[in-house]
Amino acid sequence: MSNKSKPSELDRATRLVRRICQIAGDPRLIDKLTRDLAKRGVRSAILRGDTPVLFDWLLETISYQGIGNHVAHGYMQRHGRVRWNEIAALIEAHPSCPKLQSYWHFDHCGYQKVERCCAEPDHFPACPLPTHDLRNGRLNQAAYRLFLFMRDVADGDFVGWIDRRLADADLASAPDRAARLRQAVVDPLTHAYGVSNKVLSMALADFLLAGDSQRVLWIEAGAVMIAVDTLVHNFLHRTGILGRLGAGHPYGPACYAPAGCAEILERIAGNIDARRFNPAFPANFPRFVQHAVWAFCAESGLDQCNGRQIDDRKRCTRHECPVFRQCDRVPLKP
Amino acid sequence: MTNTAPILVVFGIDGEGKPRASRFAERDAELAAKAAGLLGFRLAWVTDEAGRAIAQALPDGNVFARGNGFVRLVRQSAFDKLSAAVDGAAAAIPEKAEV
Repeated sequence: MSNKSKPSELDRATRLVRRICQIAGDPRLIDKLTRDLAKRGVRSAILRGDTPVLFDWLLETISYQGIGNHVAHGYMQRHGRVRWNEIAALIEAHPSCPKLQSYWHFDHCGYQKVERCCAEPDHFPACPLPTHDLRNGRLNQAAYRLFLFMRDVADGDFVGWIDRRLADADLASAPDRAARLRQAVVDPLTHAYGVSNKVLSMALADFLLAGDSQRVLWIEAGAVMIAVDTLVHNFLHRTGILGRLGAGHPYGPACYAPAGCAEILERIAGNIDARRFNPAFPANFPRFVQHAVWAFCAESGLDQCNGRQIDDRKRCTRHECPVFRQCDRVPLKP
Repeated sequence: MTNTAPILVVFGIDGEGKPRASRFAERDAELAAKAAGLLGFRLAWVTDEAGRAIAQALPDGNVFARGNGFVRLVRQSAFDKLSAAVDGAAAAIPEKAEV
């Protein structure tokens, strides 16, 4: 991020995003998440330390990646879901594949659903991994990776593992405290699941924010988990925030790199006191700010700033947009 | 002030006969020991000055990485020096050199 004019450009970006929060920010965000997690039994599972239930929830949540929610949901309705207890029973039967011995052995499995092949063809006929009819082979691998992670790395106690990771990262005076808390949980699970930072951040943000109101560190960590999807990235591009801060980059891993979208949103959020939207919110609440940006853009939200509303070859002409005057209206694909 | 804290190392020969070695942070000791045991690698705390110099030069390992990502490939010469340092220390004070 360029140092030149940074404070004033950041102030400008903050004013724009604060306006977005006023328009699209959801003051009931945590309440809604709490209700959803309670309905699905996740909150009580956290209190019981019930890792199998948490595995089932996390796996299902992350299974929605890379495809429309209705398609993923429909597939699971028709073909079923894979559960902790099923995998546990199959693994306890000691399958012959050496990769299934432990989390650290489970590397380069290579299972492909359509081709019906893997990296250990001699063991394929007896392998339990392909027995689950999931949408693709990557999900089968992800399910086993996550199971082995929770069994071997978290020692079967996922709640305790998160508690310990966050406690270790809880250095009150560290200038990068937010990043430390986020990384303490997201980074190991990125290895475990093999999905993008975005997908995990989304799932874990909700889980930590609304899982247990007594776990203060969980809420703090969940509050700083930001999910940058194309809508959020494109918003930062179109509004000129990326350009003015000297942080232009293509959508992808760079969004989570230094001076990427996540860092910029985190800095902007640091200037927005979320308690003004709901006194029960944490003051620093990047997830709320990011969610407001997403809701402002998404078709399923306020449907204001997306590729269906804007001809991205030209400057946006939507005078009806509530932030039209504050926006640089930078074309996405000039 | 010179840092004399012991350094945790994991090392061994992988399934393809290649030498691997990495150092780990103290906070990762428990997981590193578990993973090393399961994968058939050796684990040691290096305490002496010469051994520490060798261990300092090793790549960082990652207890959350699977397969070859856990312990990194190293040159045979570095592996041999580390083995000698660990085994030498083990011969001198076996009850403390190996974990």
